[in-house]
Amino acid sequence: MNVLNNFFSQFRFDSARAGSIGIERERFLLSEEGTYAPSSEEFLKILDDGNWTHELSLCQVEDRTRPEQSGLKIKLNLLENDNLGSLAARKLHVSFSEEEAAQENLPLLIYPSPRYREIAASVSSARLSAACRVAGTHIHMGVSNIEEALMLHNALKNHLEVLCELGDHSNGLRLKLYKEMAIRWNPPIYEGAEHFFEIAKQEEFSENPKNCYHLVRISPYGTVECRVFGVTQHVDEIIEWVHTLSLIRKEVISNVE
Amino acid sequence: MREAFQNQVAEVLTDESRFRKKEEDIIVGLESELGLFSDAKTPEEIGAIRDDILHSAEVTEHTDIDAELGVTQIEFRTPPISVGSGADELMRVYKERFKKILDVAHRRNLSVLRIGSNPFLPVLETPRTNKPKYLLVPDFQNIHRRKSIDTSFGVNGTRVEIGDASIISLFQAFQVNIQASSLGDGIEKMNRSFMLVPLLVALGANSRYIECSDTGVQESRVLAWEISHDTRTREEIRSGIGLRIGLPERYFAGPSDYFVRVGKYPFILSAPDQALKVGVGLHWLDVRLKVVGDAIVVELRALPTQPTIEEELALTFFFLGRLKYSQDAREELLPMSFVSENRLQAHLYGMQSRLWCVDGKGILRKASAREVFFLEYRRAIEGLRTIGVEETAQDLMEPLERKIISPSESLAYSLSYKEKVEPSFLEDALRRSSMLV
Repeated sequence: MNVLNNFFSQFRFDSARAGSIGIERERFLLSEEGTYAPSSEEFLKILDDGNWTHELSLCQVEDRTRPEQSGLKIKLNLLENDNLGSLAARKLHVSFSEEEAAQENLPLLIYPSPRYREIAASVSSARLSAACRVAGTHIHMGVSNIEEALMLHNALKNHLEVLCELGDHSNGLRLKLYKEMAIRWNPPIYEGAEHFFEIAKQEEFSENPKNCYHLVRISPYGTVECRVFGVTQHVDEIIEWVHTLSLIRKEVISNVE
Repeated sequence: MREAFQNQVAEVLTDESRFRKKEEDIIVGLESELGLFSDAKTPEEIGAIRDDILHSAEVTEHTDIDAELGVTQIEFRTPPISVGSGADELMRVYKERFKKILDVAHRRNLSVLRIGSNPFLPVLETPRTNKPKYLLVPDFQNIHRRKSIDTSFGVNGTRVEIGDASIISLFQAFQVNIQASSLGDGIEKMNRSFMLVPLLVALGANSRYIECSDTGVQESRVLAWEISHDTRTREEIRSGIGLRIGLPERYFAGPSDYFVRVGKYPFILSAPDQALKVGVGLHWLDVRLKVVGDAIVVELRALPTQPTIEEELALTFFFLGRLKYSQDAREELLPMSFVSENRLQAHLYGMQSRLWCVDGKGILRKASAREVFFLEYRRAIEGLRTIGVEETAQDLMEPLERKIISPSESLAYSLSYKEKVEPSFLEDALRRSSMLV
């Protein structure tokens, strides 16, 4: 029982944040010549903003929005990050790529953090290359508790194909690479909390839920995270994805009521 | 309609010379929308009185007035007036016409709402004026609205369902029309105005309450318009196609570029001989360019009706001066993505916004709306000096100098930020703040 409790204690569910949305938006950096720019360290140094962070590839950066309930505030957060990021990019003579699947010539340079070094050392070069070549837009939906998380997770799993299609801008290349990178990409239907724990043990993410790479996953931030969407330069498209996920959530909630 | 529209645009573009006017002539016309109100009458009853007012000799002889989409709405206009030789005539006519409508309304036991959103009317199936365009256009928007869009509106706890394009019946604005000296000047004025809109909205935000609920959005009018009228398909959104409401995706490269955008959207109405007018009329950008006879007119549409005529005149002259400064100084345009952020900030937070600005040293940075106002105020004064109305306008702009919060914030404060308000409390608060007279 203790093991089970320890596992669930890693998830910070919060009823105050139920229904709120947070977005992580990954993008590649390009040099003025249009080649991939391994400049995330310099970019983040110039930017000096907590909403921006590094990714596995040194050519990639990520911005995050605060958890918000309203589409209008989410949109404002995205615009704020975009504009701050574009100023830093301009100073560094780089720009954001619209690609969600980088070409094969992407330099295999890893951001110098212990976690990334560990990942890089533990996987084949083919998987590492696939991991570096994908960029996406990850949408987190806050949930109150594990029961709600499981229901929402399963509902998203049931819509997975449609959602993948909605977020695809690379004729499936991004998802192909993602599946090469994460062999266990396919989220299962969880029959209950214990089943979730069993899967976590089998797939070796019970000690650290961040090691779950399913396209839909229950994250330690107390959210259900949807990782199916690719890269778009249009903020309105991200908001449309948010609306689509919110409709699915609404359906889940109304079924419970 | 599309073919007729293109033919009429071609006529405009091939005969640009007929729109040329003297650059020094600053000719301005104002339009103002008001809501009629009585707590003892239904909207339909108020509408019948409104129609009676529109046909009564008391107003039609001296006042250019018309109906609007909502049955309780009335709009009055000034003729085009030159402000190059002073602001007095525009002020006099605008005030006189408002006074006339106010008197006529009072004689019929109605009050006048001077607010951007009528908080007493229902959103869904709110009564509309019985004219074909007011029936066809909202119906079209309702039928074609994307199903996935979230139509529950608000940023605080309370949400209002706005899934009906008739919501425009609730909204009142005042519009500033400026005559351009040429088509090119019109496009330049329009582009520069997009950049100026956010600060103006922060200063004048006045539509926070819908259905007696606090949406938490200081200026909800255009944002609710955008949501209730979003008929884009997912493919169009993916391709980066914007709405015909609010801001364009980028500045316009020239007159053709503008008219191409206008002509891309459905015309909804069928009136081939009026195709250009219909196309532009349904292009609800914050600022738009109109062809009126032999004149090119730039219309600022982003501002809600203000609590007082004086505040509307203050915003008008601030806008005129700031626009003149921008043209004279050949000011570099702020990138559209920054304008877009500023605009959303201003709508959500009013004078509590933090806005991007280019400061006195030419540095692009963020500052509080109040700090940005004082920076821009000096530029507006410089512009008004070249127009020749600096002294009068400086007095006129005095209400803006004192503005620490937007009118909507002031109303919310007086209602203790309650999420849902009793109509009678709201009525009292509106009367105290001169938004209901």
